[in-house]
Amino acid sequence: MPGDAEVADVTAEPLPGCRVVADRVSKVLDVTTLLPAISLVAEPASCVVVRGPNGSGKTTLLRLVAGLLAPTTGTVTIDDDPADERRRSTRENVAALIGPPAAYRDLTLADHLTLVDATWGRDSHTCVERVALALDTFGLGAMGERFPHELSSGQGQLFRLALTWFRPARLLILDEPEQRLDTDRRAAVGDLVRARCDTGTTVLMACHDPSLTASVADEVVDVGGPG
Amino acid sequence: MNAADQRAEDKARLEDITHVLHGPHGTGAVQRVLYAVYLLAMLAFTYGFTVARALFITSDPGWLHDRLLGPGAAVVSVLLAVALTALVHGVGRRRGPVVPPLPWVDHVVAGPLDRATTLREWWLVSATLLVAGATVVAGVLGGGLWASGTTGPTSLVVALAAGPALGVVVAGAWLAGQVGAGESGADPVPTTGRRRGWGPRALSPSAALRRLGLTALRAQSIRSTRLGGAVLAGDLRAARLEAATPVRRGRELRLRSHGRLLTVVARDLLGLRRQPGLLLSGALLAAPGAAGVAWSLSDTEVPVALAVVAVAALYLGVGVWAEGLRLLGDTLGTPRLSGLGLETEAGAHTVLPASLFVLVSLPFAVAVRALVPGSAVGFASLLLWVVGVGALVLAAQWVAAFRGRPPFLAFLPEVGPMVMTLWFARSLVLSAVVGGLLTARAAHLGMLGPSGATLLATVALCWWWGRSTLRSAANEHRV
Repeated sequence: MPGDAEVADVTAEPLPGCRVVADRVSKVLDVTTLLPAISLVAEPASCVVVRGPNGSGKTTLLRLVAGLLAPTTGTVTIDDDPADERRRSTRENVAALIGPPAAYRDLTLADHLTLVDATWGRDSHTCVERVALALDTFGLGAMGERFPHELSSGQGQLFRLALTWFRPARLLILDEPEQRLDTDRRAAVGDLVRARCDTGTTVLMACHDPSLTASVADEVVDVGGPG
Repeated sequence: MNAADQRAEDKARLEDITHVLHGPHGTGAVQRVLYAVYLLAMLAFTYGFTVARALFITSDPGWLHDRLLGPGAAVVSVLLAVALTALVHGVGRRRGPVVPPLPWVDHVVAGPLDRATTLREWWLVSATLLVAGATVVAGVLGGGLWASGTTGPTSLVVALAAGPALGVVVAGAWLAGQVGAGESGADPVPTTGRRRGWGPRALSPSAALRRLGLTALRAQSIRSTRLGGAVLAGDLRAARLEAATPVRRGRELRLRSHGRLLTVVARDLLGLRRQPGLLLSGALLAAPGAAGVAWSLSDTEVPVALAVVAVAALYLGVGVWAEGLRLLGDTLGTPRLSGLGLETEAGAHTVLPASLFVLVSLPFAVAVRALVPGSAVGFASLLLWVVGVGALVLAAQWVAAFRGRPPFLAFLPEVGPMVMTLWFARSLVLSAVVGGLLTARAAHLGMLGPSGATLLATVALCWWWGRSTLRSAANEHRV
């Protein structure tokens, strides 16, 4: 993976981050409590790591902040606007890796990034260079012509991270980005998260890896007891 | 130990295994198949025959008689049989006739017993069902033609001979497809000691069963389970991913950025270039579909059923080309990666199937109109009507792509399968029945005036429904 400066310059848009406020937000389905009431604040250019045991509600919290779920109680706001992916502002501001994003089975990795690049209206003349650099950044430079089903599980996770990173966003939400990655890749992802924060982006992530948490977190929030 | 002794010992050991797993009565698969065939025959005789007879009577028996006894019918029949055989061969590569449960594959097929012996039951079940089904369907059609007075009793005799024969051929192609998929890139199986694919042994089911590899059998077993679960749950994305062959060709082609909307169109075009089979199969459905619509409009003696079948073929053909639209539907509920609005992106994904519809369908419609002498239908009005029907089937693609979750009733054991089937087929049925009936009506009453207005209103209504399904499908996950 190349240096952080290249990552910041090309794969991430230099957009100011959002201020995220979750105020006593909870989620209950029927009689099942998916997330007990919790509050957090994530400031621009900072990384908040959510920790907790399996089933404690980390992913639910991330989905609430991404606007993919409606809270049962409390509110989630992104720069004072309600987090709701039906709102244009939420979709424009939030890039999220929560579960595998839907990939096209008939597009290669490079094609996927090209499509994302084009739909955000970036300069088509420099698209090839941006795509190549993004693939290099995530260690996938030699795999641009592979289809998603031809990747190992770790490479697949890197590809999903690359896709999420590649679209412009002011808030980056990552659900256990360390999944399936070896120690070196985890450290590299940590560097990328820090570099992204340094460009101003707000990062909210769930993480089970103490080393990664220590390397990226400006603040740690425990869900459902100490992680 | 000679071969006969070996076979006898294998058979005895298999009986022991079956006894341990299923008790003294065995798996019961043969009894279940016989019962299924019995039910199929009863239903076909009770309902199928009656419906077929009524359909032929209402479809102008004289018109049908002339066409069925002409040389064209024989050519079309042979072509359909060849196409069906090729299609089933392709299906066999993803889901063949021999798909035992995974534990059987891992613990029995993987053992030292003769593979043909351990797999024979599954092959016989599939082949018997296929041959019996083909016989019943052919008998219903042949009997219906005879009973409706369309043809003489010969049609029943021919059907009862051709049906099972076609069933046997198709079953063999199905098994050959499964064997071929498992052997792609693999070394020849050393059991026969002869060159593969040649000589009488190549036609032997036992020889084919011995060529099925463990890895391929496991993959098909797992896929079959997942596919069944996806269909029962109404999860079309999972069903498509399990059923579709992984794309591997055309990796040297690159998607280029052409701006926000054109890149989406280019994406769909690239998808078809990497899967030229989709392009071809879509054309093979849409072209005769458009020809059928044009024929119905040009000749008032054409049965209504032909117009309905023609619009159904158009729907299916355009649907094959609308892969991008369905893939967009698959992404609903996941965090957005694309910078386009949903409706805008859906519109961009509609451009390619619409363009292909115009390129493929309209020339065939014009050609058919030119071949019908004395037709009072003008070329311009005919083309306008075909375009209108195209708009209808495209709108129905939106309804299909963004159908969301199945209704609650689809998960009730009493009515679930029926509701799920209707839910899967609603956009096809809507476009085929409404489009077909309007086309047949327009052939008699003219395309302008009330018929044209009704088609326009139907198209508008269907597009409104498609947009509504998109919005509701995009929001329904946010509970």
